[in-house]
Amino acid sequence: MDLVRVFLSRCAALIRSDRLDEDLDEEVRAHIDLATEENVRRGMTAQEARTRALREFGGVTQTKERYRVQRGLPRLEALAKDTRYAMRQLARNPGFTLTVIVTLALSIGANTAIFSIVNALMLKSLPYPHSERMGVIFMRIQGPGTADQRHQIDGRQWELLRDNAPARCGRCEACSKEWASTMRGRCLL
Amino acid sequence: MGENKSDVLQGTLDLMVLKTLEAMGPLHGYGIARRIEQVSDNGLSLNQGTIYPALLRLQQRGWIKAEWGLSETKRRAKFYSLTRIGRKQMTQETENWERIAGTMARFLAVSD
Repeated sequence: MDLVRVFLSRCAALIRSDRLDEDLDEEVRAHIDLATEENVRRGMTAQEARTRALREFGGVTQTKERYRVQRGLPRLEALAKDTRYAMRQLARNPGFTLTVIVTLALSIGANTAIFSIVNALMLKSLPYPHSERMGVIFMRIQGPGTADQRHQIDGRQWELLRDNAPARCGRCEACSKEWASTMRGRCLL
Repeated sequence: MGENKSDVLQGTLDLMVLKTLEAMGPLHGYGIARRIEQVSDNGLSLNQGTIYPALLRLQQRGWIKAEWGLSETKRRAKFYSLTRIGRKQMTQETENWERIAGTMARFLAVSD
């Protein structure tokens, strides 16, 4: 609960930091003045009173700095400062900036293009039901001379297969061997 | 300077501020600092400026609130006062501190 409240208050302080700086300046000034007045009442000269008041306060600048660190979000402010610095440096070296931008643009573009292709071809499944059960059908003509050559089948052969072939899972080695032997001889070329 | 003065332990300043506000009512930063110096009989090495981060910390937690007002000498100053949450937390912090102080006292008594 406390943490939330502190965080919110720090965020709010970021937005109004100029006004709060003025507030702090005035508060510190009031402190020194009040201390000086009291010292004068105790019989010091105006100069003495003021010096004494400042000494008892401790470092005014350090106090304000510590106060600001406590007030805002110093890490976020540092990040914003670094970003502004980076932007200034880039604006100062347009050649370097251009090289960096072009390099980044090309590499991001190439990566995206390659990934799109790989994604469509290899990663995403095809837009059919049970697409994981799809396979490639080819023919292997056995006999002298043409051993182990793969042949694609044409539309007529495909229709023949569709109407005659028994259903198989088609994924495992044993299945496809069995399927192939069942089909052997049935396929009419 | 400061040879017989103790440093202010982390967290104790907050409680001193709360107790001061409870005893004195709304008070500006200088008044709080002076009061702490007087009550501690100048036995603390404390820059008066140190109380401002502490006051801010307490405000952020919602334990105290600040308002601009006029001092006895008609000077514009920020006056701090306890909130309801602040009062409740102060009771709890006081208990905490008394427990720690009691434990410490027992250790010191043993070594005598």
